[in-house]
Amino acid sequence: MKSVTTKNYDIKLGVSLYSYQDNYYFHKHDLEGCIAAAAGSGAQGIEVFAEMMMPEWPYISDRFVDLWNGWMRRYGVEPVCFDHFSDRGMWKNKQLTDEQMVERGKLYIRTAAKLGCPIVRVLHNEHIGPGVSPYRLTDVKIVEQLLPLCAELDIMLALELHAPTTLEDPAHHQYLEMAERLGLPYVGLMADFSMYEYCASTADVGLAIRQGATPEILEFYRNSQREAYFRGEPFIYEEIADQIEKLNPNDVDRRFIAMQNRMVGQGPESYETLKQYASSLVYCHAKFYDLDEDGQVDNIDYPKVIQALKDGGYKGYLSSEFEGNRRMNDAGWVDEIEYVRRHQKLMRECLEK
Amino acid sequence: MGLQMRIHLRDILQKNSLRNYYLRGRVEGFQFDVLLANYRGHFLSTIEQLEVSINDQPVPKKDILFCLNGKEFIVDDLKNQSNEFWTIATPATIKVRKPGGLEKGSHKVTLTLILRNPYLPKPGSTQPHDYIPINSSDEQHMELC
Repeated sequence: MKSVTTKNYDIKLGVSLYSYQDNYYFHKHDLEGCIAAAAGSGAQGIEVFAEMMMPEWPYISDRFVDLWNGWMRRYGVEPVCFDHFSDRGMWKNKQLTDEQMVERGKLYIRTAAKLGCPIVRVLHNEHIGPGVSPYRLTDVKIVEQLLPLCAELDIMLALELHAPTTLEDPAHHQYLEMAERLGLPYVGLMADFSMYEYCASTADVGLAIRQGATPEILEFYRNSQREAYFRGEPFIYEEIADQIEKLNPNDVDRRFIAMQNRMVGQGPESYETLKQYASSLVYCHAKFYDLDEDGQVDNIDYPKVIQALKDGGYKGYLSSEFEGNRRMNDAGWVDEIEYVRRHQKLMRECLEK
Repeated sequence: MGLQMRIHLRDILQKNSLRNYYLRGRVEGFQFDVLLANYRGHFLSTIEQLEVSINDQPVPKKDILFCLNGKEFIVDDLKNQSNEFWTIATPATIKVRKPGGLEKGSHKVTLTLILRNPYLPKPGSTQPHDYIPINSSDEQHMELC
């Protein structure tokens, strides 16, 4: 990254090893191989979750930690984020109590501290928007009980916000207010770039077509989303609904459109709001599903998103989170390592601009 | 079954893993290896359903053992195993008690394996304990090794 004395942002690039899930699953690369792949993409930071790549979970040994630290040194990278899950439904007819959820939460925080990760991504109750989950996952009362341990171990909890939720939703702000009230500022907001999708990804379109969707309908729908975005207008589905109906959509088409209308809706969340929040964000998932021939993410306007983060003074990591693998691997091998490499290149270019 | 997760992972039933196993010099049954089809590992207590058919014949539940981490669990005991973790890198071995085992040749193995996605409640569900299932089932014609 170019060093500019006037800049008030400090953005570094990382990779969530989640991006390499097929390489791991099919034994092409073990955990060390995935770390090497991330380092090879030019990234400095590593995000990891134990349920995926640490077979000792939930009992991470010091011997493993020594090995992990060795990898960090050897590949010249640093741990940045450890992922928490809210596994409330542990038994068939019984869920974890709140006390047990707190204890599980502490296990993630202690493990992050062992591994040297300064941030724990929290799967909080409203991560895909309030009112979606019929049961409480990790809610504000549970997070409140985790903050003293965070203070002791200097771990920041990052509330991950996925589409269709927004940075401004009060459901997330109750956590920040609670932390402020307690004087324990160890929870912050984390933007997942799925909030900035402006159209369906080609990865989703391809998968739906292989599952029986009608190519003409999906293409028309996606083009309408794109035209609206590039005209600078919201995408209003009702305006094209009649034309879609005339094309006789089948069930797969309808499911695809319903999902897109829910997740992408009228278009990306506001870049201006992102800029306003940028300096208070603690982490970002640079989500992507596919890249076009120009090396751009095919449904998220990375230059705009990263410009907003720069203008707003974001200090922290952007970690590549490739989710195209499971949308495309029914059709053959997906070269996750190459996808991440090109994605890191795109983000470096956006930062250097 | 409605909404469920199915990750496109091939080869849940592991090639070249079907074999007879022995007790006191006699074939007590057969076994094969299974990989969990998800992007993250699971505690065994999240297994909702485990059934096996061999050549279209369902195997009685009492004859199935789920073997992992050096331990052998009967199907009814899996629901209690909330500290026994099944990582996606490690195949579990399914043992089926069947005196005499299987004959040489190809056998149709049908595995029904449904897990609970313990952090993903079904959106809008009003049922208790209603989480989105993960389908890790598979069917293969396997050669006895």
